[in-house]
Amino acid sequence: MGDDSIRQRTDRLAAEFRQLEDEFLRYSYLVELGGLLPSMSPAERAAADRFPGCQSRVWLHMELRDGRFRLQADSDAVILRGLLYVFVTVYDGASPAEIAGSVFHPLEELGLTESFSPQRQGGVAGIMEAIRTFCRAAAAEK
Amino acid sequence: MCLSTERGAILDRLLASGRSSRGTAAAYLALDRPTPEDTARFVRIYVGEKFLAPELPAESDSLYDLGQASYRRLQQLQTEGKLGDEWNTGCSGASSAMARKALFFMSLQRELHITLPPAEIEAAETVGDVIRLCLRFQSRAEA
Repeated sequence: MGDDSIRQRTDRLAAEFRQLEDEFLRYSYLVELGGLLPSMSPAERAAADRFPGCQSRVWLHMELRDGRFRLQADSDAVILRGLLYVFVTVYDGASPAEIAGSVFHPLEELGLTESFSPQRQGGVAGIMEAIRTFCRAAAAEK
Repeated sequence: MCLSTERGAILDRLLASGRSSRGTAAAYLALDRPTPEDTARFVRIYVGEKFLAPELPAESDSLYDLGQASYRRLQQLQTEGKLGDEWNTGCSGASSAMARKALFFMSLQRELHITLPPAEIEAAETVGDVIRLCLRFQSRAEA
């Protein structure tokens, strides 16, 4: 898994979601994946970057370790935990340069465009931009 | 993270749910002139399969609670206090539960060949409401 490219990881996820024929089931899968996301401890949440939503909270901890991007994420919102699981699956352990140069549209590629309100979609875009910004900076320093 | 046994099991469970509910919908549509009792029974089965309910849901069961109960990990996270109440009260009134309900009705309309007014969908909260909507708007069913 660690040597997979980002495209291989996203294609694998997309293939899983595509097996589910309607968005209700895909939404359900995303929620269930959120249940698999390891929770951050209160201390880890306090140390992480927080992305505030209107009522939902998202915590991201990004670091470079041995030249690889490491991502830890959490949220107190059910559906956002699912999306964070996707981001951790796709990006954790990848090279910053590959992440910075990658193209991934999770809602479209996973068939979840009806599941997220415009406000939530903006939040998703913000999280992805934060990851790319971190990785662009990390890749530029090398 | 790789496709774990647990992730594979979740996917298998949802695939089975999809197959079952589509089969139930097909069986209902195959009835020549379903009675109100037929409609109630099939809708209860369909809803139960869709929401992975462990038992046949009662007409009084809330669609929001059914959706929540099917997520085992969600229950555990809530017990541990790691989730807010976003499931029921999200951003701009669009909670995860409401989004899921909307998606459920999209599936139901497509699979049962029925068109429901958005206002009726918004107002529907229980399995009984779903049955009543199907009886009102399913032209095949006896009144």
